[in-house]
Amino acid sequence: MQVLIFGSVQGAVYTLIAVGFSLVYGAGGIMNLAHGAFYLIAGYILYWYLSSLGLFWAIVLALIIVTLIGAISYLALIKPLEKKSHLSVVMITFAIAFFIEQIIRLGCDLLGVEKESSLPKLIKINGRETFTLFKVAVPYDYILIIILSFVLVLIIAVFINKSKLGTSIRAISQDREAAMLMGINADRVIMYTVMISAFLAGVAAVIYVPSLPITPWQGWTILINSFAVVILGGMGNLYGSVLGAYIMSYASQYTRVFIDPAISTLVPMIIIILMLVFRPQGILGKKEID
Amino acid sequence: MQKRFLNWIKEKSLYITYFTLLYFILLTYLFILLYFLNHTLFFSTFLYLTLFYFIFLYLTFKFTELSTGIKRNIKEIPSAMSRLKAWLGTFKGGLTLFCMLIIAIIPLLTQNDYYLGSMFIVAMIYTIYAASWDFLAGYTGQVSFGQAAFFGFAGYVTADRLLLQNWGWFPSLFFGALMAVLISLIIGIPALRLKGPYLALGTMSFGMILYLLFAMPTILYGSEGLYNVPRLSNNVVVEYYVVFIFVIVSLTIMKAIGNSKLGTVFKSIRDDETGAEASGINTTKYKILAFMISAFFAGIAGGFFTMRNTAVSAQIFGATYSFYPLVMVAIGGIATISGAGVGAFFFIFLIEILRGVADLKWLPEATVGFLDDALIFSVLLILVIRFAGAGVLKPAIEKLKNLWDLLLGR
Repeated sequence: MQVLIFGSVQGAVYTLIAVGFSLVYGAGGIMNLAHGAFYLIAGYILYWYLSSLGLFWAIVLALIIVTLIGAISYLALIKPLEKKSHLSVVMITFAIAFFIEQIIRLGCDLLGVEKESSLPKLIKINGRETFTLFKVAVPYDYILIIILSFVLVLIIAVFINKSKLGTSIRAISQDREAAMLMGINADRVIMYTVMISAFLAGVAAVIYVPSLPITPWQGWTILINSFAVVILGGMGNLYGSVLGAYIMSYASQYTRVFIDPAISTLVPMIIIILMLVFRPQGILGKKEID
Repeated sequence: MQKRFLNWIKEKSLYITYFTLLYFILLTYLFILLYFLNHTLFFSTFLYLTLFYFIFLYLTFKFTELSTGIKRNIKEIPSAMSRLKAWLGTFKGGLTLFCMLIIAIIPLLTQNDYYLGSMFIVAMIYTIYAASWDFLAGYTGQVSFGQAAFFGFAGYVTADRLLLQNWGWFPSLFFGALMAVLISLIIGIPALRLKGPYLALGTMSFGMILYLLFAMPTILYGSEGLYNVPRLSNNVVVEYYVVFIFVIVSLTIMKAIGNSKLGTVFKSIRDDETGAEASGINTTKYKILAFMISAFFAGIAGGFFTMRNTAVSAQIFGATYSFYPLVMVAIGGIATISGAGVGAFFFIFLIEILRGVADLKWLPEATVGFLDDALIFSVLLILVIRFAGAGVLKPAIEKLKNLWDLLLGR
């Protein structure tokens, strides 16, 4: 039961993160190594401003800033390099991720707060943070996380399939040049995609940080885990990412409860290795990757 | 059979000659220096250097062909000498020689433990490390963000051999580097099925695995790591020259591989993998080979680094240490092995300058945090990749060459 509950929550969070990650890769072919850093930004802004701005405005601020950073980093840094080579894009996103991590360390020092966050839970009913379900204490937050993640993924799926921007995203991911010839502004569409992806990472951070304290180092773990999810589900495949997120989370929670907590952190990496060796295109992936 | 064999010798003899020459030059150099310093380490170093040379010869010419190879070498020496002379006469060769000489005479100017030990030796160790990354990324086009895996693993193995098994420094170092090669095989075989960005993330996740494994409290030396690792030598000058020799040998080998036929294969994989595959090159095999060579040198750097710091912990597998060679190579220029050296020295000096500025009292308290080296370097890396794709070294050297020609009135 514990496995099921915690696994679902973790799965819901990683769904949000990995969908964004995979969306950017699918649309622009950009492997965004700064994705974990986007999660960090939103989490830390919430942490820093929670006491001064109040919960609601802190969340709004966090989401706005993370979306803006997504747009800026695409426009100023990634876009000019895209035509040069894939390698420099990867390297610059790596540098951005590193930069954000250092900025966060610096911010913590300047504000004089602990680097590891400790936040109160988002929802309290009758002054209590948790309720008991099948002998397991479950925070009310978890219900919010699961519902919100489900709703957001549904919105994204509808958005990709029905709206005009969604259609252009799909067009670009299929054939960029042809899409541009049809009059789609590819750069702008990819910018929107990066913004959506950063926004999703921000939402994930905002709802999950009260349950799982963040540290500046955590960006890399988040990145590797979402990579595991995406490679499990198939690169650039939305439903694959959802499926992958839940499979990975149940597996890692199962290991945590029944085998060893220390080994559970290794589960995503083991998944990556196994998938790379046996099925590099992912469970639902297309036949070829390149 | 005989004819084929002779042809083969002809092909390889140039490199053999170069290595023999290098070996004797370094040996003379070591002899002169260590004789005057009157140090007992000399004999073991001599032994190890010779061993290293014969291992190399054995690998190139199997054992039975050794005598032929040596005879041939001795005949080739005069022509190789004249070629070397001609190379030193050119601008690039002269510059290299000049830089090498400057680095070589530094211990004669200062014997300060801090400057020699914490700056120059570390800079030279980073040179090997960055060059190993440059070899993989620049020549073969395989970007690895998990270079710290090799660096750290070799560091751990070296520390283990030195501390717990009481091996000498050279066998420990060599063993560490070989273990790094082994790890590179374990990482490379699954990861090299990937291309470009996937590979980068795949290698990074392997680095993370090692970090988590070595950070576990109960297995693999615990979360504290190993400490009280003995230094290479108590005399910092001796350590300086040993590392210096290793830098020269490693960089020369990497450069020689880059210019050889093997290097051409690597470059063809970098430029057009499909094309290389179509012309009958087993790309996976060569990529794994490049991975192994890179891991070997990263391992040597890791071993020296551990001996220098006298301690090793799981932090060595962190993203920071995978990030450093990127910065150094980006500064120095990609696919120029020597650029790694320039980048590494620049890196160390910049850290020192930043520390100096942060110590000044007239700065406001709040700005000191901005002088954090990792922060500065990430900004620097972003700027260099964004605005100067070719690195800083290459254009600078070309400018310098133009100036030189102008001065000589050419």
